[in-house]
Amino acid sequence: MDKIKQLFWIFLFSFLGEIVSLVIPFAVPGSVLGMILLFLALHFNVIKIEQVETVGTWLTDNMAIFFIPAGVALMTNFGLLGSIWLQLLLVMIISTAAMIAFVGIVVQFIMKRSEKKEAKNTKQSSPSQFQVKEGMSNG
Amino acid sequence: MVDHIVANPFFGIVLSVSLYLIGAALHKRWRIALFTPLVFAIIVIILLLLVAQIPFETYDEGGQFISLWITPATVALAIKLEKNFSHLKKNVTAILAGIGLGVLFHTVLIILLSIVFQFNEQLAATLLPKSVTTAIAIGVSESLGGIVSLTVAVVVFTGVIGTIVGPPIFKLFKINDPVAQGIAMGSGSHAMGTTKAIEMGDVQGAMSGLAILLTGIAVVIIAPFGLMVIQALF
Repeated sequence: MDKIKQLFWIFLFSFLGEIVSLVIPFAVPGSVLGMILLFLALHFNVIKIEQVETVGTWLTDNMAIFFIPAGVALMTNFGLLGSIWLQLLLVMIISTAAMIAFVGIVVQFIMKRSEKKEAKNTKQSSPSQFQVKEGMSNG
Repeated sequence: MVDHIVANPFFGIVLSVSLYLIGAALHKRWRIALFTPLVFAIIVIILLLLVAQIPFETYDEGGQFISLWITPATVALAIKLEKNFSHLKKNVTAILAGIGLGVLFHTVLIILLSIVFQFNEQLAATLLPKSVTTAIAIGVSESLGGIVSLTVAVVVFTGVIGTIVGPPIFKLFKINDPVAQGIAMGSGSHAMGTTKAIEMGDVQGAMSGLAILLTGIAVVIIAPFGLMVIQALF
């Protein structure tokens, strides 16, 4: 019964997200809005994390399988891709790889720089603070 | 007779789940990108349907029940986000700057590549929203005058590419921070990239889920300016 209760909360927020998506004038998907709403509910203790954790974690950890039909739907576009498929494929591979590399490098660079600054500022007070944090981020 | 069997919803469901499991088993033995369960299942199912001349719509009688779970799974990412909120709070500047600059960079890159490959205005508009989650991409493509059905295909393919190229890119450029990895996966290849990020770790998964949202917002804001550049150039 506990798992049904957990499913209920997740379904409810999925539905709420879809409803909000219909009401607001921007093209934001219901799934993303549902995620924001559930996050707010968890963050402000409207719902406790244990009330959704088991089922929710199971869903996210096995998320890949849910995308199979969306991927298979690619076959309906083979006709549209026609003669330009090779150019399109190249553009997609280049731009996706470049985007992932660029964002990763920028985020890591800024994080390291601000950590160094912080380390300088807190050097006198607590020099061991960073060891603790590094260990946590691997979890 | 055969038509009736394949039209049963369980045909698509059993086909999808079984090939996902076969992919997982193969991937355990040989860790190559082709055997990533999702990629393997998509490729084999497309080939099977084409060979057996079964239309996608027939497969989707069952497939739709699998797709339905994308929404609750995305909603449930909120749990990872809440558990890893400290990472977001601490690195908010790095995350926002990375995604904002990343979307700008991606927009410029798509325009340049469209010029190199001599795409027209419509095709460039179709490609601009390719790194965001499908529902947002459809809205953006439509408002820019792109080909919506092609945008959907491009978004899905981008997701597949992201799950394949992500890990080797992190190795190549020594991007080893879990927050940076997660943000990069989510902003470059949306929810499909997030599935790979979740495999890498909890922090990566949470940050990737967050990046889907932030990248979506950034693209909605930046894309119209991209269109203005496209209209001026093409």
